[in-house]
Amino acid sequence: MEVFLPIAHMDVNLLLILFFGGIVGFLSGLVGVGGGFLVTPLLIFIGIHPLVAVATGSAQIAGTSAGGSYAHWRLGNIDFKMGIVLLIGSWFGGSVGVFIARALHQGGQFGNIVTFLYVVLLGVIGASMLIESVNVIRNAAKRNPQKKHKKHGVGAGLGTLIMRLPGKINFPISGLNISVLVPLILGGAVGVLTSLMGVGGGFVMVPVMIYFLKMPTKIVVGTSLFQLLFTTAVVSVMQSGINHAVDPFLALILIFGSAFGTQWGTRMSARLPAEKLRLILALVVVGVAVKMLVGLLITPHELYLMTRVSL
Amino acid sequence: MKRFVSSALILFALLPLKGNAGDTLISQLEHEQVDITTRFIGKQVLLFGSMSSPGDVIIKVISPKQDVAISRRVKIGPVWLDSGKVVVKDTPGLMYLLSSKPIAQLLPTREIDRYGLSLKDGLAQGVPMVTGGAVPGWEDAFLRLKREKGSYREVSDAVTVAHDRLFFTHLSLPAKLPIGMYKLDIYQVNHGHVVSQQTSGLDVRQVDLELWVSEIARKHPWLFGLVFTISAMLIGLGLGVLLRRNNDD
Repeated sequence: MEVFLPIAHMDVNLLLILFFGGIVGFLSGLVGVGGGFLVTPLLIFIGIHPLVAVATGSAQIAGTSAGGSYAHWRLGNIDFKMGIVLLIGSWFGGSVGVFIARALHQGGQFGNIVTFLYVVLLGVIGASMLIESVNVIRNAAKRNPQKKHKKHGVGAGLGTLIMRLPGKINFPISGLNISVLVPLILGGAVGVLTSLMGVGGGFVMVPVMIYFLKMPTKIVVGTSLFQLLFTTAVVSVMQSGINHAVDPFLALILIFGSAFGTQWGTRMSARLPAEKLRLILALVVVGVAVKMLVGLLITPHELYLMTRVSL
Repeated sequence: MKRFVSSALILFALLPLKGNAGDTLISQLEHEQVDITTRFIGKQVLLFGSMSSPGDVIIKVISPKQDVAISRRVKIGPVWLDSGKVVVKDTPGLMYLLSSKPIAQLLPTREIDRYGLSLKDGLAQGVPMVTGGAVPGWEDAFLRLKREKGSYREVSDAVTVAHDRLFFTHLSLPAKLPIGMYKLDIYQVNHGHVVSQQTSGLDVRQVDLELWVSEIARKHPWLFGLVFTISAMLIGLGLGVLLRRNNDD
């Protein structure tokens, strides 16, 4: 069943887009990432203009994470105090990121830098999560829990540094008493990424909250979704206002697909143990990173790339 | 469709044709508008016409103009990176050259260039600007990619000429197409010369909901963005609540 999209000016298969939405929604409900890093490449792959794909992706994530946030709010999984501090950081970081993006674009290196950012960030984050969750699951299987196993190295060093920062605030739901600077900086960094990579940044935020801040995984998922909701909503409005690139039909189909996926994901997240959730996220992140890396390494089938500039 | 074609042909055959007072060509499109609705999946439009004297026919179809960017990947160390960027402004998004015989057989090069009856003309209409470093070979790449995508097409047996006087062709519009006024130049060719010419237009336009949505998105982008984003959030929330309630029951 084909549907013609008014802004993208092309027809797409309704069921295929619903399916894309479903996958993204499932991940969103399961591990609290928006799925922007997944949906945008999928849309570009089926021939949608990259700008429309990025812009519509953000509108879709705003819709999807609204449903997901509600589900997690009902389960008591959102730390609103943490979410709002993160948001303040990410709005600020997002504004800075827009200027960085413009400077890179003028230098003609935007595409390359974005690809490298994807590969490096997704690769490092995904690989470390993968190793960690595999270790946890293997240890649990051996019934030899090494709970007193102290971490050394970068993670521990950063942890100590974080604890020494001034301006401590209590976040009772997350069970944290840390400096307000930590979520502000984290939010800011994620905001920069949102502007540069067109993603909500959940795949960065979630691991940082789990591993560095040691927040409970379920609270991380809910809070991350809540933060995503408001970050992507702002981006979606700006993409419509400045670039006229949000396709409402495409976004709505994706939202419908993802609404079902989200429910499924959220239920599954309530049933699955935390380390398995992390393993799933790690596998997805590593998968995308490997795919992008392969794209950089293999000899391209077509050397030239032609894209429409005006919409 | 077949019946329509044959009756149209009979109609034209019955028309009193002008004598040698001058070569004339008349043509008609089956539809002068193509309406893009949500269910648009491409369309075939019949073009038919008659000539007052024997000849061959070349039809040039040009869509509204677009700006495209061309970049090239180069190997730097182990990785392939984008290098350079050329923006070509104002090139036809679609360009079809439909004829009854290969154009090169019908017209000498000079005439082909004069009337812009080669796909290269689509590129020649554009204004190239190097914005991010030079891209060697971009002209060839432009034409090759346009041909591969089917956006630029030269079909030398697309036009059927019957009884030396009548001609018809089917114009196939793809599902992904530029919107706006298409220009059709129809040429009658005889002995290496264009002897007669007619121009018509085909309006590819959005209608109904499509039109309404794209007009609002273009004319009031901020309002559209705000309203749509809030609606998207409400719909997402509504679906979430609805599905959850169903699941809880």
